[in-house]
Amino acid sequence: MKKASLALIFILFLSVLAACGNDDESSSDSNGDSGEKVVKVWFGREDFIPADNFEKFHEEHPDIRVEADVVPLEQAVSDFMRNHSAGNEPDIVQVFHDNVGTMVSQDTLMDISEYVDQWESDDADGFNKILSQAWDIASWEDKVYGMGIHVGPYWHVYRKDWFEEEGLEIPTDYDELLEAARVLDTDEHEGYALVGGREHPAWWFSSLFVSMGGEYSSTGLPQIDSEAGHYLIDFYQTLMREELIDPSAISWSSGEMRGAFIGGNAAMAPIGDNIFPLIQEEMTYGEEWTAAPQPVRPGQESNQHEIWGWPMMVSSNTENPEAVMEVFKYLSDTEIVDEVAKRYQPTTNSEVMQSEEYVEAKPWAADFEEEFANTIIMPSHINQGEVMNILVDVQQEALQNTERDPAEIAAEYQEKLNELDN
Amino acid sequence: MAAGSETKYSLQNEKNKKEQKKSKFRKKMIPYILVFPAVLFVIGVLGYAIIAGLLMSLFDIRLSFGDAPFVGLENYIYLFTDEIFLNSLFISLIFVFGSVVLGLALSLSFALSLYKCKRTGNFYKALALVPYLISGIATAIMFRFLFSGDVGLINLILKTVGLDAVNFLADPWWALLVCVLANVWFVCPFATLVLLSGIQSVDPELFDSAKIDGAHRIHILRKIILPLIAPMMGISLIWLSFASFNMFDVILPLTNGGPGRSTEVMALYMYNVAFGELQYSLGSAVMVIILFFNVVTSVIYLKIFNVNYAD
Repeated sequence: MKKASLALIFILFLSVLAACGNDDESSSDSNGDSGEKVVKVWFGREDFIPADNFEKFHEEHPDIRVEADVVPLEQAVSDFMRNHSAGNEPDIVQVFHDNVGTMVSQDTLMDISEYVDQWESDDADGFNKILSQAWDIASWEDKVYGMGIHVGPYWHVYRKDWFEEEGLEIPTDYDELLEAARVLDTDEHEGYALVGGREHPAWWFSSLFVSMGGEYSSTGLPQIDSEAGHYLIDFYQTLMREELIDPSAISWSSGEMRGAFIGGNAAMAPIGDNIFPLIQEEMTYGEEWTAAPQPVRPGQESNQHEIWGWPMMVSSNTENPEAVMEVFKYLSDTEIVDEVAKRYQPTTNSEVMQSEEYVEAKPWAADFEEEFANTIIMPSHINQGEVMNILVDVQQEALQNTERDPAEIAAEYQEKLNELDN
Repeated sequence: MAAGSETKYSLQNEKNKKEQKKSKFRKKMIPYILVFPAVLFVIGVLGYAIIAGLLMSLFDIRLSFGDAPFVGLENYIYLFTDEIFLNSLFISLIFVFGSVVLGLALSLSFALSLYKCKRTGNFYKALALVPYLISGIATAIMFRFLFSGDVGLINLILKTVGLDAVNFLADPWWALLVCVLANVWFVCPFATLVLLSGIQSVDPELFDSAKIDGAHRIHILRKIILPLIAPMMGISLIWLSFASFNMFDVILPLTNGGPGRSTEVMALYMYNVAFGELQYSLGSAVMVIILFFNVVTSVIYLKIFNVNYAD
């Protein structure tokens, strides 16, 4: 009995040592047995993984094995950095695009510009199907470090049936939107819905800012102490002051905003393209609901639309950049990416976006074709996390203090933003 | 012959004494040997994290920048001049105070109730542990449903009885109160069990004789139970304030520090600067400050409640 216990403790001790030890096999398996190349990929969401899970890729490239895993976008950067330090990171990691600068500054990404040029010269037709945003979104200081296969804009969604009942037109500027919200705000539903809580970065706030003519500094700081910034703050204050949104919207996450629109509790909302299929499950596009590009600020003739992306970034330590490029070609291949784009996020493959099947699957896509092709990528600052926290503070200040002068709020927070450049 | 047997006897006696000493030593050592793996584990895991965090707080490690210079106490100086951190410190103190007062009152009343439940005691003890076994995120979602502005259960009840609905999570003070309630719900069960074990260790004859002497229930509580379970109360208070200072996983999904920054406690602030803003050193400095508060409050409780295991 005593001997058995000792043996058990010894085995346990060895197991602990083995667990704590460096796994040499895993760190050197980028070239597996028999010369097989292994490409490890961290996807930010399971939805981004093609339905065939690289089956066709493995048939076409028997010498490359893709090992796909899901690491949520929210923790991908810090996990990648930690694993990079330990030499255990994946070859490709999917991140929010505004983290690219941070990752470049830590020398964790590989400049793949030469491989991109090689792709262009080898297969010009295939390469030209890819929109320039795919490379822009994964670039920092004119060098390409990855590829954005999917990008997502925010548009405005409207309850078309309610607008028609009241004889209202879909708003083209934000003053018209507020007027429509005043008419459509009843005891049964709110006029508008928005994300006011701290749960997410200020993506919606930033999207509206750009659509109102907001600009960024050369370092990627939003210039909120501007006409557009003042108008945006006043817009949020008006919505809350006149109770055109739910009084508890200051604590709302994106789920609550979407739920309010889909559940018939709000007449309008700024919602991402990826949620449209969910809305379509409950209502019919063009009859009960419709969508349109963001309105303009009154007085403006046109505006710009901002997009976000989740680019696939290449590790600086990858031993197989050619194999990585093959993975990119596969993921952005029309046949493969078409399936993901139809059920989830829009893609930078223009052939897919213009295909009849895509328009059939997403009937609203045709209404945004021009705007989508001309979207601008949300600029990011080297301290993007702090920028987003300050923008969330501005948003919450506007919703909490509806009588405060917008110019005063903008000036106070612009000063905090500008400090990030020092 | 007699001298020989005497020598033999004294040798035997000495041998016995040595064996007795050895045996005593072994007996004394057993607890230390048993505790040793746990101590090793704590030093290995917690000790390493604390020392690494402490050292990290003296540098300026930010993932946004490549270099990480030694900055000494600059991170601490920055924190104590930063209004956002000072706000989170203030919120933390209110949050911990509220959680400890409410948590102790509820734990004590639950422990006294469970002590009285003789027949179904085990069932209720198991039931009382349920909140502790539910994850922080599940707790937060449950409280979000309860206190949600439009469809929350509490507001439905308020409307049913003819009162106005309250936007609990949209108002700074209400939101903080909801966070305290969620935290108390989460941390109370363990404190209850600690206090219950204290009450159960009191000799029941003391209660009987007090009753015979005509003591009222309040007197029994004040003069017998509370003094005798003082060490256990100290342990409970350490747990309540420690768990509250470190509370993060309930508040993050419940309010994420909002509205404004009215529920941003220090642990949440630490998470935001370390993982949102990627300022690891600043996050480590906050960790050290939280640790300092935990140690200070624990020492105070141990002194006040005279917690001494040797007794």
